[in-house]
Amino acid sequence: MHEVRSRLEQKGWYRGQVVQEIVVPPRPAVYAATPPGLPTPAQAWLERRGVRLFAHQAEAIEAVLAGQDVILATGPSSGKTLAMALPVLAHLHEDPQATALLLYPMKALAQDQLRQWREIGEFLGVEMMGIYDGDTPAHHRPRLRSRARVLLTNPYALHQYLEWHHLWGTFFARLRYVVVDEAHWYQGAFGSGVALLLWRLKRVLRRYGANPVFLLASATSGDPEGLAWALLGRQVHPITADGSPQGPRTWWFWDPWRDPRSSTFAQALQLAAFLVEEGLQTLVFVPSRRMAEVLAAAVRTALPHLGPTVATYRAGYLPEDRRALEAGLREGRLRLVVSTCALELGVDIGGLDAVVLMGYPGSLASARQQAGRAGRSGRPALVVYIPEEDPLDAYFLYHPEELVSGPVEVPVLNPRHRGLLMRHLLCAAAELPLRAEEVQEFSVGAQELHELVRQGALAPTPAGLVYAGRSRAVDQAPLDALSARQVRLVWQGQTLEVWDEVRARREAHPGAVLLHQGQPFRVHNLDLEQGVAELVEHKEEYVTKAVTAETVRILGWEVRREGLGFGSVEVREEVRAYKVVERGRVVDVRPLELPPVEFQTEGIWLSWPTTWEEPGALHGAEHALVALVPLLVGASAKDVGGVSSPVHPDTGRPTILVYDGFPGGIGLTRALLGRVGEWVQRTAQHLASCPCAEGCPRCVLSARCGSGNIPMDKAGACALLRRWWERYGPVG
Amino acid sequence: MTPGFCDRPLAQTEPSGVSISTPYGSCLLLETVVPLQLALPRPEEAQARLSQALSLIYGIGPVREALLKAQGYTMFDLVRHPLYGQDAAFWAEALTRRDLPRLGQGLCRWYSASHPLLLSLVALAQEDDIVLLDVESMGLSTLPVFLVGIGRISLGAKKLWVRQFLARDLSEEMAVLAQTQAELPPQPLVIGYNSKAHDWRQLQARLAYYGLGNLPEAAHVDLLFFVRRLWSAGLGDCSLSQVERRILGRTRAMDVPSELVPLYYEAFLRTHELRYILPILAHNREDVVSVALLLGRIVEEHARGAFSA
Ligand SMILES: [Zn+2]
Ligand SMILES: [Zn+2]
Repeated sequence: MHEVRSRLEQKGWYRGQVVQEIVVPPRPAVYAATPPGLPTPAQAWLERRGVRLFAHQAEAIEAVLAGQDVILATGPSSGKTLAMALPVLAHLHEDPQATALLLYPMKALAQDQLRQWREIGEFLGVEMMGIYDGDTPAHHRPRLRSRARVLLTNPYALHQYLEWHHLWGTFFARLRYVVVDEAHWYQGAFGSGVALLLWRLKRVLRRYGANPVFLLASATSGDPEGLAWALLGRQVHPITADGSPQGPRTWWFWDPWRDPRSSTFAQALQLAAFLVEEGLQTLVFVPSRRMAEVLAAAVRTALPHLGPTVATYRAGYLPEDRRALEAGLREGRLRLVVSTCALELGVDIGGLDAVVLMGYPGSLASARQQAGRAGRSGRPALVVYIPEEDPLDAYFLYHPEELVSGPVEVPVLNPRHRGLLMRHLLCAAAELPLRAEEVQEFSVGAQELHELVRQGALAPTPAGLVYAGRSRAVDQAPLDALSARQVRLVWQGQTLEVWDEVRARREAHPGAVLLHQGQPFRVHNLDLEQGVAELVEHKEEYVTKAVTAETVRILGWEVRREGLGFGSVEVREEVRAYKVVERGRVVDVRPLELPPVEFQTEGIWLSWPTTWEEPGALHGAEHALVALVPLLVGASAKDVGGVSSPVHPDTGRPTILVYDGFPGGIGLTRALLGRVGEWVQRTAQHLASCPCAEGCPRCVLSARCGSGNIPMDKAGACALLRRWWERYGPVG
Repeated sequence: MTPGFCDRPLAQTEPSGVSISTPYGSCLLLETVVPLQLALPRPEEAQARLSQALSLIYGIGPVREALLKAQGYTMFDLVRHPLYGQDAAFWAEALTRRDLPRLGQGLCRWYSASHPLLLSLVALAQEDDIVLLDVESMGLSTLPVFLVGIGRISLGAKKLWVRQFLARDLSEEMAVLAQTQAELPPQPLVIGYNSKAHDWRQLQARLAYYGLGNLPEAAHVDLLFFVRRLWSAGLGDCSLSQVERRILGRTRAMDVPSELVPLYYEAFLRTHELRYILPILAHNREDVVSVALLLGRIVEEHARGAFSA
């Protein structure tokens, strides 16, 4: 990469944007002997294929053979599918009755994985594998249920089918394995719903005498055991030591603000064209589908001779088109592919020479997954990181070593979320009569169940509590929404997504531009009564940012320490206006007439032992703290909110309060509680690293701010945070 | 006044019936006897027709069946056939043993769910095997069942016995289901209106919900398919109430529309007032009676040759 760098430096347009270069030395493969317990046919498959097992694969296989639950959290292309499929199929071969259920977060992924499972299955003589989801034709279903050995589905579909468990009796009674792939997807509201779904699945399976082993596969995660615990409610065997080899990898940290006259987009275009001309097969990750198309088109215009070797990749392509793209990448026919995060998932495309990350993808887990696409059989590879104008993006420009090898954030989910739990309890009661002792693990008491009986949702019977509602319980519990009040995002009569009302008010207000699978839509109308947001396709260049104002009262202190509190809070949020942002510049501010929303949630608050602090300093520190929450916990900065006040009525002190934006709380601030010191320290460091003088969008300025970022004191904010950390941080 | 409401104040708090106990608690049994004239073909005739249902044999289609029939072949003759013998023996045995579920499934698969051969199956059945069925529930097919109406026919006595099992609250659903299960013969011939896709499946789903096991294997004669075949052009919507009015010429004095049944039951659960449950009981009973009358009417139509048109 050395020569590439020197040729870059000779380019007339280059302004020294590569401010940091980190070379990660190659990592050799760590192999391990095939576990002797692996049945002979499976060993034969390995020999025939000439596969030597990496240490983590051997460890996983051994654990599965021993009947242990496993979470395998290793990097991309580390052979996770093989490590799960081989022992499972070997067992299915030995026990011709046994079955396995595989869960994937997205339909497209199931297609891809089915091929890999089939390939091993055919060799071992385990046939009858199929996908069973909303697209499965009705006349295939009975046969799949009664005959299939391996079924692939997704949580949304399983949520609907559990109630019909008697139709699945044969399959369920023989179920020995449940594979949960891409487990790191199950975070936040969706993850919490999936955790409760898995609890319901286990409960139904017990009726059929099945107690399967759970195999979880996840991208590298900050706390795989914790994730597994949250999803399954039990201890599982974690395997994290990645034994797969990695070639030498060079990281470039690109500072687009070195060239103030050229936009980030223009620089990315120049860089991509340069890399392709250097002969490097390149993959560029961009935040939206539109940008993928625009960037690919711009490269084709700039370098017409590349023509058909430039392509875009995103969700929503037809399976055959996707397959052609994937093959083009594997075989090297495609030289440049611009992709949304769709390529982050475990689709097999082989390794590339260079990967460009345009913008921080929201989590370190994703960033590593994307960067992991670079590198092929030990050859040197390049990863370029280009931040967008955002504190989180800028943080990694100033702390590059953290992006390369820092600890991954902790996944956050909360299956004990009251509202969510209650709705899944009703689903459970619709599946099998519910007994009070079954819900003790969720600390749901007789009192709460009695209340549901009083409302007529449950009825007591000698068998337990029976669901007595008039509509299907699962229809009242969409998997990815938290509150009972939901808004459907509807485009041309079809529902694209279902959101909680609180989120819809913030992000789907009239005029809001939002992305669905990377494609931009604009909200034409938001009807909160009907719970419908009508979308139209958004063809213009601009994006929008809601301007919110909020007040927060503390209702209860769960933790009360010097300088720190945590507990339940009441939030009043008002979306007053939204900004129209074109190419990073605010071109218009449009007022909104939406009633304020009030909800209870969890919050964490820092206070100072003084009687007064500068409002500008508190305000700046609040913005920065909120912006950097995703450094520590798996969340988006949009999922939390903050307020600051020189004297907060409930603490009597200068206070900054950060609250969980999900009504009821999804556990975001609770997860911060154990890492407050680190959070404050890293935020202070970031403010110190930002080269601006007065504060900028990369540190303390927030586009969401309801008071237009006034007052604002960046230096004061930094000093304030430092003072807090020196006093409470090292011990907290 | 809402149609179907009893406007007289009622002193009782429970409909008149007997409380019966099951291993899963008790429920209420109501019995009604209704005169019924039903002319079914003689069993020997039915047997003869069914023995010519040669399309049951794998490899025989309508053309070959017509050819073989014209030559006077029956299932029993084909038992020694080199190609069809094995299959023919299978069906011949089913006929001899009057294995209704097996025959019913075969007829639905190789003919159609509205084929007149199914009427021959009804004629072939013993009276004890015939079950008219109508189920009332809280709504969609996985929600609780609270009333099961079962009709038993006596051709000799020219009577229809309607036995209804009612859950006086949802805690009695299990007893209703268990009693229904106990009431069914080992190989029933179930006759109803949309009963194959709906009532029967709902019973099965609820039995599974409580872990009470399976329903017996059954032959289904679902009259909805016959109504569609014979009258759908003139009816528009094929609901049972429409069929009653337009085909059977019956009108009900006191009735709840089907879609309001769950609401009435909910009101009954809340208030325990008879004016909510009596109309449902009547509705369910009338449904069973209509199924019996409709069966008679369809048999008549067949005798008149309506099916060949
Ligand atoms: Zn700055
Ligand atoms: Zn602000």
